[in-house]
Amino acid sequence: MIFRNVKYFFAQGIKGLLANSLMTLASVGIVIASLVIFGVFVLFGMNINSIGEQIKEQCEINVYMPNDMNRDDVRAIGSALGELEYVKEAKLYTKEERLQNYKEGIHHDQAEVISTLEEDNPLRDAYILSLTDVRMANEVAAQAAKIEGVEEVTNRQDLIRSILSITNTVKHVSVWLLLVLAAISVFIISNTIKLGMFSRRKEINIMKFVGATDWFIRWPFIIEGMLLGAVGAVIAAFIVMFGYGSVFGNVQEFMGNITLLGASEVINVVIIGFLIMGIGIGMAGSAMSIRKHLHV
Amino acid sequence: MIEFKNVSKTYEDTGVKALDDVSFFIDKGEFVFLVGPSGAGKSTLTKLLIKEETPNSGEITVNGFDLNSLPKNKVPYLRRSIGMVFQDFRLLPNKTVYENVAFAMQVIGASRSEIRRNVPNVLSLVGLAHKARMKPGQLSGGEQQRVSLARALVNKPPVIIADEPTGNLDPDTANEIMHLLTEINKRGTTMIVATHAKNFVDEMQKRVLAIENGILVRDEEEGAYGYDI
Ligand SMILES: Nc1ncnc2c1ncn2[C@@H]1O[C@H](COP(=O)(O)OP(=O)(O)O)[C@@H](O)[C@H]1O
Ligand SMILES: [Mg+2]
Repeated sequence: MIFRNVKYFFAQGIKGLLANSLMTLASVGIVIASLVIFGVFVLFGMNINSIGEQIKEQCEINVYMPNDMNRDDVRAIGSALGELEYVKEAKLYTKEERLQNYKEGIHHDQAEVISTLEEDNPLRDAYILSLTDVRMANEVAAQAAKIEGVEEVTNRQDLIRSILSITNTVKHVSVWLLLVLAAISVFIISNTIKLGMFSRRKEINIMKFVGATDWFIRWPFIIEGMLLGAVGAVIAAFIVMFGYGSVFGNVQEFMGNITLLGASEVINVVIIGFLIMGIGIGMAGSAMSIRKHLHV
Repeated sequence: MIEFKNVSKTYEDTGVKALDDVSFFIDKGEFVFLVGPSGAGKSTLTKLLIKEETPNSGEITVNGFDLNSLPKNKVPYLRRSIGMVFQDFRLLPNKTVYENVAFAMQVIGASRSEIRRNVPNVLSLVGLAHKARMKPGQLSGGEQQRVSLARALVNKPPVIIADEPTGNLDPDTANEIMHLLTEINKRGTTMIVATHAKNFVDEMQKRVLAIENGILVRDEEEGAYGYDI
C-alpha cells in the first residue's frame, strides 16, 4: 500500500464519519457505553483479584505449639508439617520473634507491660505454613491438627473461598458482558457503515468501472469503522480513568492493610485494552457491512 | 484486440436470452457502431466486455485479457484498459469537473503529479479547460458528457466504450459529441459506440454491428443503421 493511498483512505474514512454525524454519534456513544460498563467490571475484577492475592499471602495457616514446649520438639513438629501434602514451606516463628514483633506494634508508654511480658513470655512458638494450593487450606489444617503436640491451628480458608468465588463470578460476567456489548456495538457500527455505503453508492459504482481494486474500495470503510471504535475507546478510557481516580481514594480508606490497584497500575491496561477492543469492534462492524452490502 | 467467439448470455432471473451465439473481432484503432432496437442486447454486450456480467458460453478476449480465465481480483486491471461512457454521465454532483476527472486517476492509485499533468490535458482535449472549477449541475448535458468522456480518457485506455452517449442530448449537442468521439478515435483509441441514433450511423459511414433479439444480424464496413425507427 502506497502512502498517498493510505492518506486517501483516511481522508475518505474521516469524511464518512463527518457526513453522517448522527449515526457517527450513535456509534461512538455505544462504543463508549460498552467499554465503560466493561471497564468497570474489569477494574473491579482486577482489584478483587489483587485483594485475593494479598489475602492469600496474609492468611497462611498458623500452627501453634504449647507455650512450654522445648525448641527441639517444636522443630520436630516443624519438619513433620513441612512434609504434609500441599505445604510449600513451614516457617518457624519463635515466641521471642513474635514478642519482638508485638513490641514494635505498641506504644512506648506501655513499656511497663512489655517488661512484664519479657520476664514471662506468654506467647507460643508457631509455624506459618504457605501452601502450594490455597484451596486445600482446610485439609492441610486438619492434617496439621492431628500431629502430636500441636496445640492450635488457624486458617482463613472461608475468606479465601469467598474471594475466589467473587473473582470467578466477576470474570464470567465480564466475558459475557463483553460479548453482548461488543455484539451490540458491532451491529450499530455496521449499520452506520452501511448507510455510508448507501450514500456513496454512486462513487462506488464509478470506482468499479474505472478499475479501482476491491481493497481500494473497501479500505475507507474499514478505516471509518476503526476510527469509530478508536474515538469511542479513547473517550471511554478518559471516563473510566477519571471515575476510577475519584472513587479509588474513598474506597481505599476502608480497606485497612489491603491496597487497591493504583490508577497508574491500571491505566495501561485500560488504554491499550480499550483501544484494541474499540478498533476490533469497529473493524468487525465494517467487515460485516462490506460482506453484506459492498459487492465488489 | 476485442474478440467474441460464440458468446451467449441468458439472464438467470428473467430467463431472457440477451445474446445468442455472437462472434466478431474488432481491431486496434477501429470505430464501431453497435446498433439495434431497445432491448436488443447492446448494453449486455458492453457489460460482458468489462466483466460486469459473465457469458453462459463462448470466449471473450479484450486487450489481451482472456475474460473466462480472468480471476476476480484482476478484473480492475481489465477495466483500466477500457474507458466507459454512459447515457446518464454518472458524474459526482459534489465534485468539480476537475475533481470528477481526477477521481478516476486517484482511485487507481495515480500520483499527484500524474494527476496534475493528465487532467488539464484531457480537459482541454474535450474543450472544457475553462470550466474545470464548475460543478456538473452548472453544465449543460453536452458539457457533462464531455466531462464523462474526459474521465474515460484520463487513464489513457486503448479502448473507449460509449453506451448511448447521446441518448440524453439534443441533436446538435449529440452531433458535437459524436464528432468528438471520432476525433479521439483518430488519435488511435479504439471506439465502440452503442446507439440507436440512426442519422449519425448512416451519415458517418463507420463499421456497424447490428444486433436484434440478441443475434448479430449484420457486420458491415461503412454500414448504415438499417432500421426504420
Ligand atoms: N440485469 C438484467 N437482468 C435481467 N434481464 C436483463 C438485465 N439486463 C438486461 N436484461 C434484458 O436483456 C435484454 C437485453 O437488454 P440490454 O442489453 O439492456 O439491451 P439494449 O442495451 O440493447 O437496450 C432485454 O430484454 C433486457 O430486459
Ligand atoms: Mg442499453
